[in-house]
Amino acid sequence: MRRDGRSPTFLFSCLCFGFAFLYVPILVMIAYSFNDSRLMSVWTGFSLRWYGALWENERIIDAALLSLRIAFVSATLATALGTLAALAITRMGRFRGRTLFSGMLAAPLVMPEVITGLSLLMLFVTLEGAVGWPSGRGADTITIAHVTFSMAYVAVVVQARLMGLDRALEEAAMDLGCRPMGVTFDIILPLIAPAMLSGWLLAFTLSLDDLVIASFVSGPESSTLPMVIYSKVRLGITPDVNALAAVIVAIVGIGIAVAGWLMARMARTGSAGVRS
Amino acid sequence: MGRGGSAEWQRPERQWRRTVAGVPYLWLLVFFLAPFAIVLRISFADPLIGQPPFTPLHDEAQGLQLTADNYRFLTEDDLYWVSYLKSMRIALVATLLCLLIGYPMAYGIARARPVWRNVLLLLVMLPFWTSFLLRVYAWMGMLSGQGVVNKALLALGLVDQPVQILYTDFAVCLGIVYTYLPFMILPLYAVLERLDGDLLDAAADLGGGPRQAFLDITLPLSAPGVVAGSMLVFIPALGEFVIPSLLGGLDTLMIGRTLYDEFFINRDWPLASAVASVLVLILVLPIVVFQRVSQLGREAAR
Amino acid sequence: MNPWEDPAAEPFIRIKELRKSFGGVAAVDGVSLDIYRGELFAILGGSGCGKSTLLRLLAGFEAPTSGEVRIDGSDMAGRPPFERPTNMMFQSYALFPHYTVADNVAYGLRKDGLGKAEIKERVAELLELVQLQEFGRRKPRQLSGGQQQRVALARALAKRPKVLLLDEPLAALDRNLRERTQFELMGIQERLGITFIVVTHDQEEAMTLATRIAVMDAGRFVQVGTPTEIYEYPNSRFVADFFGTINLFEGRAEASDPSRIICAETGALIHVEPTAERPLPDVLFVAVRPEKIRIDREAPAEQGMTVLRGTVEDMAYYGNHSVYRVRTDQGKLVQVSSPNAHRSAELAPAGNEPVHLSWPRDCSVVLTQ
Repeated sequence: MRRDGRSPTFLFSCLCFGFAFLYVPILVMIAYSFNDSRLMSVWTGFSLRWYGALWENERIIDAALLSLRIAFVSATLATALGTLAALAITRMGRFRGRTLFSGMLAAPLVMPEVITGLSLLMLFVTLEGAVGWPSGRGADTITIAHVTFSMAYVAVVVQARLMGLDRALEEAAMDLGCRPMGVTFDIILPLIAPAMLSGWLLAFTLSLDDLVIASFVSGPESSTLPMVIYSKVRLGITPDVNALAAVIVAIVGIGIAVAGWLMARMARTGSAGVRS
Repeated sequence: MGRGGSAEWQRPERQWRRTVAGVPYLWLLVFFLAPFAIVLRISFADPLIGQPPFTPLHDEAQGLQLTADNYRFLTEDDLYWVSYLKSMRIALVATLLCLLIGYPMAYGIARARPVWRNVLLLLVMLPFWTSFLLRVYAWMGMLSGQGVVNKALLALGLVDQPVQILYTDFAVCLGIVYTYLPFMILPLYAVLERLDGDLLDAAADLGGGPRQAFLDITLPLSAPGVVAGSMLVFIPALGEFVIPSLLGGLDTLMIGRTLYDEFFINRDWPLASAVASVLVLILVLPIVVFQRVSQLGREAAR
Repeated sequence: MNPWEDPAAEPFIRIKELRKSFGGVAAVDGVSLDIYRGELFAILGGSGCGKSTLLRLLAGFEAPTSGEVRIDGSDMAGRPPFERPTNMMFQSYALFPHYTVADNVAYGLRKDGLGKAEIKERVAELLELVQLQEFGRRKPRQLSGGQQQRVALARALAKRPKVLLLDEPLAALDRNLRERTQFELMGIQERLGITFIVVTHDQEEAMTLATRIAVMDAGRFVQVGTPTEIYEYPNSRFVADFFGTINLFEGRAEASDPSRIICAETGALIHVEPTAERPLPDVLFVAVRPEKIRIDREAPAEQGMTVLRGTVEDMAYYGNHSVYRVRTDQGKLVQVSSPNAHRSAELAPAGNEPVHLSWPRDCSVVLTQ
């Protein structure tokens, strides 16, 4: 343990400080969701009233449902497209426009959201003027926007897995009489399934989290959850948002636990194909 | 070993290959590349009150209408220049702070017992999966005049009256460090974890003290992680909108926020498009080129 | 008579002027070879010599830049791996981790569209062949390395290929297992009569397994022959050196008697078999295997022997034999391997003892390249 200049005590205190930094704000936020007072300055007693208020706030509930729907559809589409893109990059050799393709695939990772949102809005407005589609903006345009930037993340995750996959597995399948398309379904897809699931979860989270791009490409009728939260918190602290935060943290906690269990199970059955 | 990509037998499989590459390719062409072409074109238009709020680029009577007014305006108004510099500064400071906090944490996790490592890593990742917006919001509560931080400072007797932390550049920095810390820790951990313990033993064996071993071995070998982590923090921090708009003051002009305001408050689409075009040129392009070059370097090194 | 010695025999696999280059660099550089039905043929070479590329050309994973491959009379040009009468056993085994052992073995049969019952029967047969009847329902990762190797073999044999290609089949096994598996592999090959082509970097493996060996270097065959031919009559310093240890003496033939060779460095006289057919070049090499050299305290009585005097520099005891390093009086270091026929170690020469090294003329191999 004492192999280098940093003593365990020093590292330990760094870890304690770091995790305190990461978790204290969240815990404080959750704690105040149980505060009876509207103000964050005083603790007037334990209460669940903000959870009640949250439950009754149809705007938040509707926005949450819309966000979940968009996240589900866009994550699924992004996983499909991102997986295809990763396959194209790693398994299709050289093709015309490959450089442009990999550039376009990587660019959303470094593109400020403000620019992505702005440019997609310009596209939708122009398209509407030119071909009449999409008529107005709403859930569909948000979904398209989310697919576009999250497929890049899926592609990165899946690509990493594909690169670690032993090429001999695919050659063995072909050697035994399988055509290349069949190899994709028999061998590649089952073995990259865990990465696809990770990618899907990532895309789902990115979509649920996105405020900026959605603000650009949404219509008046479609406010996602982050948009509603933003419009509330821009003006200051509101305890029902604290309650919402507590609910989200609880859901994520449970979700991570389940996902961790599932992934551990899949890893046990599928990871042997990865070369270390 | 050959890739087999040129093998003749792949010819009958063209249809399949075309689908695999073609579908995402087409999607990116339409929804990623085309928008930029449009933004570029609109940046040469005049603003107009109406829908869409810019003059048509192609006029039946007068043909192509291009104006460079928007770009001229960008050079005249130093708002954009100031925002750009401020974004750079805040992103840089935040990245350094992330490194300062993240490095020892990543190191601590990498040196922890294997059973603990995954738990600690999960704890690092966990906040990332909760809402980004709500994590920024949490700091609004922490930093406000009556917030936990001020209360703590008062209780410790460090200050006599609540200090203004919220709505300052410092708050923005803090917010960025807080939200992007996991992106710094994970690549650092990945590098540090792979670091061979034998190397350190060898260094210690050869007479270097533990401090020397850290400086000679650990630090240089973790350089790739430092670069990767810094990029992962710096790049998104640069274009950040939510954090400066919630935690920053009115004078915390970061470029993302300026662009957002230009668009939503002033509703000047052509000018916003011009800002976006310039940003892509000076912000995104260098990063893409840098990554391309370092990727080629890696391939050459192999 | 062996088929390769029979001018009337029809080759089963015919490789003609085969060449494959990657970006202008030839990995396989104009190789021609005939392999006969039922052979266990080994392609031997160091890493990067092109042997794996050659195997991949046969399997169809690579398309040749030029040249021809015929298997059982039909041209393989443009034939994808999934339409070739070859199957391959991969170095990494490449077992599908998400399939059970039985499903792995059945994979090729399923792709051929065989009926369920037939597949089941064949899989059972194959698992019995490799003695893994009990393991059909396991996943590959639940097996040991040796068991995985056998699954890979069963899977590659499942489709009854005309040719089985084996890429370093034993490289991933530990030493004890390797020897046992070698004999199993030979047994299975003999029973099924399938032509095997084995690529290996291990000369011992090639010698014990193969009917014939092709030694490969820099994309070309240096020598093709039976293990004995290659070991006893190497045609170049490269082959001599590649197969075990050998002592090399540089020298030139006496003009009057080409069976007498004078060492260039030491001036020692070496007797060789007279070579009548070709004029010898000015500089040539004599190669002698360590086990062909006798080590004695006294000079040998026989005539026509090459005799060198020297001192034992050091000696290593290997149980069944000992290896001596002897410095000759002329200063050349010679390695000698001597069987330990007697139990008593006192009889054997020890360190710093003056000795005589001797070998008959037919053990001297003259190499011109």
